[in-house]
Amino acid sequence: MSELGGLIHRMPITYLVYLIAIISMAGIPPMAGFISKWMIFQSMVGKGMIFVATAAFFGSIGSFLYVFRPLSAVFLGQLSTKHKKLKEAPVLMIIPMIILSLATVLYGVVPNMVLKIFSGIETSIGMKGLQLAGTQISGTNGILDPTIIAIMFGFGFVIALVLFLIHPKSRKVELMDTYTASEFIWTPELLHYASNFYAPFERLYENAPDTEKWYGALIKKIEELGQFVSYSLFSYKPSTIIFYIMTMLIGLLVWGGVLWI
Amino acid sequence: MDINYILTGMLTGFGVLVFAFVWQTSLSGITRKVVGRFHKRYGPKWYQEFRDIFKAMSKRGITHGWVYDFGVMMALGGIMATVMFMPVVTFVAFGQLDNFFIYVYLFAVGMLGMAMSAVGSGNPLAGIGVMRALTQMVGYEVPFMVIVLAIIFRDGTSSLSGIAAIQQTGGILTWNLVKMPIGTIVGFICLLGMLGKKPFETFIAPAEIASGPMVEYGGKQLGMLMIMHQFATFIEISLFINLFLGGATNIVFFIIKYMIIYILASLISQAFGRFKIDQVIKYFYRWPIVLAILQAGLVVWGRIG
Repeated sequence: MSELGGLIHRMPITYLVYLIAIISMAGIPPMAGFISKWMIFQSMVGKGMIFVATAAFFGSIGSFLYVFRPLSAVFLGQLSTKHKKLKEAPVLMIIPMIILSLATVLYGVVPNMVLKIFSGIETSIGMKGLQLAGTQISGTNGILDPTIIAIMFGFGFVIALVLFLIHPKSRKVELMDTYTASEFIWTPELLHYASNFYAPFERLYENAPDTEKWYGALIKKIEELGQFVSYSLFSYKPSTIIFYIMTMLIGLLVWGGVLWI
Repeated sequence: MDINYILTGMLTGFGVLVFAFVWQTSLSGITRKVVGRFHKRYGPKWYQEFRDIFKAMSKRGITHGWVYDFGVMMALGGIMATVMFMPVVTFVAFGQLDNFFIYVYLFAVGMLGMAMSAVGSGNPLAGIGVMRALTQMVGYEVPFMVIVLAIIFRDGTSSLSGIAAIQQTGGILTWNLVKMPIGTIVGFICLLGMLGKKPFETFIAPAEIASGPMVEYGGKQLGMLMIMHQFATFIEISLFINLFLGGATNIVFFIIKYMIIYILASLISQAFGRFKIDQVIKYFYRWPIVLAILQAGLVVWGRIG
């Protein structure tokens, strides 16, 4: 990932698809991911599951971190010289990407289209179904209306767009021409901050016990045991194999006989 | 769906938006003056923030490509949508729909837009600032949400105006400030983190990383981000008032509570130096989270508060 960067200038559609995907993954409205997150949080908070909820909140905020890193390292920033000739993904790939993104947005804005079916299944097997009314979803302690959230977000965006358009037009400046505290840098790779992105966060647990090492050691021990077994017992001679099979069958017969008596 | 309902909601939301902008921007100016007096300076005029915003908006600035502009619009749009859901006294754009989780996650649209635009400017200092802002967010959001879990569990509603209304039933004694004192302290510490006041100012750090995410901005983009900052501050402080200080029954109380909280936060900011980002995370995961779980435990298991 640290060798990429600036792909937005070559692959804008892929970038937009990725943006929609991460907004949904991080559980931000108006995408489909928010609906499921809201429902999970509703029931966790309603039941007062403190420790599970703490972990879930940490995971949900932490997801902003891990979805943002590829966005910034792969798509934003300066385009490396060796990637100058890159092209947008082929059309056959773009079509499914766009269809899936539209589905994400659609189910985020009008989730009741699918939730109606789930609610029907729940009632048919005797559970209490989801409480749906029009575009609203009722949880244990609140009502959510994703359509209104989407409309208000659109309204906010339009106000921002109007504010942007009525003010003086900006001058286009290249990405290499940024504030560097009077340092002269001509290599795009040096200006793009992509490697070791969350170093401060990783420093927090660098002294924590490493489970990976423990599992590695376990794997090695099991391998040694297997080697010992195959070395001491396995043989390519047919007679030995037949001897083992006969021993096993006799053993089974005796064991079975003990059981039958 | 009723079109009149939506239009009324939009209109109310727009009213809240205008109020939020005028009030928070004026208060920022007043606070600059108060802080100035604490420094034994004269301080700027109370309308200095308006001047700054209008000046930035009228200048012809630079742009670093479409994602730089689009991110700014997404940031301002997302934050304005969040403001429009905010209950101010009795003005609620969509009653019952002012769910707490909307504020946390619709707010995140704005933050994501700003982060995207800042990194899109191609400046490594902006990248560092965004990384720090996200890391700090992991620090303060978790304790804050655990406290709110306790409040929602006790009240049985996640509607912000509902939580405020429950606190107004018995005067000051039913405020969460009195019923959940530990939670309020944790909430206030998290509020300082949200507002980016010192000691949690690491992601801006003007002298160290040249204002972090803001480093490349100028002209109307900077002006829009300044407006966004005012709105974000409004959301954070209104959340605190509605969750812990019993909301407000009329606009005068709202303004007084708001002023006290904001000026207090700004003055506390003057007394501290800046934490390193490692220290910020360690701090939030040492005391606030332990106290938050303690408070939530008292409410959920002990039925106290």
